[in-house]
Amino acid sequence: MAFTTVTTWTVGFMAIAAKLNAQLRDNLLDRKGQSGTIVYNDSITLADMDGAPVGILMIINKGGVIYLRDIGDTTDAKVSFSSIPTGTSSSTIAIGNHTH
Amino acid sequence: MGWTAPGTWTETTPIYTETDLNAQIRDNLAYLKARGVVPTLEAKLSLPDKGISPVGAVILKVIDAVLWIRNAADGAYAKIATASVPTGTGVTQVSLGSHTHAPSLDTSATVASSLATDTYPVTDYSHTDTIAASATSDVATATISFATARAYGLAAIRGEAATANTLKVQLIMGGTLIAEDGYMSTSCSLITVSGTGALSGSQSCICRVKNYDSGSSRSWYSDGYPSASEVVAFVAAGSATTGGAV
Repeated sequence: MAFTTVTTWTVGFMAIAAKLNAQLRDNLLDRKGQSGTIVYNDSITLADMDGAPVGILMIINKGGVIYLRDIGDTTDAKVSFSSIPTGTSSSTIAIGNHTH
Repeated sequence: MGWTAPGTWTETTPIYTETDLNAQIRDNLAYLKARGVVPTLEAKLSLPDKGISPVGAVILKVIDAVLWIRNAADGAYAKIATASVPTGTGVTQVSLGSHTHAPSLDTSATVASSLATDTYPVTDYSHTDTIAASATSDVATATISFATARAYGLAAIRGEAATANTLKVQLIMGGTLIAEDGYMSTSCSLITVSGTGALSGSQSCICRVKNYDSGSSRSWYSDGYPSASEVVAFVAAGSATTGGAV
């Protein structure tokens, strides 16, 4: 069996380094927000930080409108500003001193 | 356990120690998972649309410690500052669903803001008041200094029109038509009109009858029981606080 010249491992290591940089370092930085808006593929769940935790809170996007789901809700509650009629007519809401 | 900036891997990168790898990989992943720490994210958060008919992303961001949300359906960022929304049934609070706001009377104000009244000066049982075409007749007038910008008024007449569909009773406050009844009946009845206005300072409050006939003068008849306690017509006005406790 003839002797095979031993090549350097540089190329292989660089490939690994590239993957480590892209898939590990850059992904960590992306999740930290250092590369711009953090884009999620699904809803976000927040743990119950109370001393006596009872459940999680979910932040959900449905139809371009944000919903919150907490353990006290039987359905997701919409947080939609366009759904809140603001103004001073009898069926609208205004903050501060105002006249309906 | 805070965030450790992950290093860049190069051909000449020195061999990372287990301390480096634990800090940059294990601890950073735990940091982003918020295990044992509140992570500080450095950009906006974008959530995909999970609705049946998706229209766009929702974005959360913080400016000056206030959370803002951009709903794709709304098209613009809106501030979420829940502590700034006073909830309850007070005059300046917000409640959802059926509820009653009960502004308190301005009893603590000066005498000028308390109830002011005036009565129809005529005391005969069936007095005739004839009003020219398209003209008005001020039946009772009270001048009041409203202590707040919220004024309440009431005008009343007990009488009847000589001709149907010609006369209407009005409440005027501060020169503005606040309320108006329908056409005065040709049968005697008690007619009341009331309303509120954004007024302050000294204002005249008038119980007025307007002749809507542009071609002829029209009359109405008082039909009361004038005595020391009963009147044909009157106007009353007062003000109430808009920021008082319920």
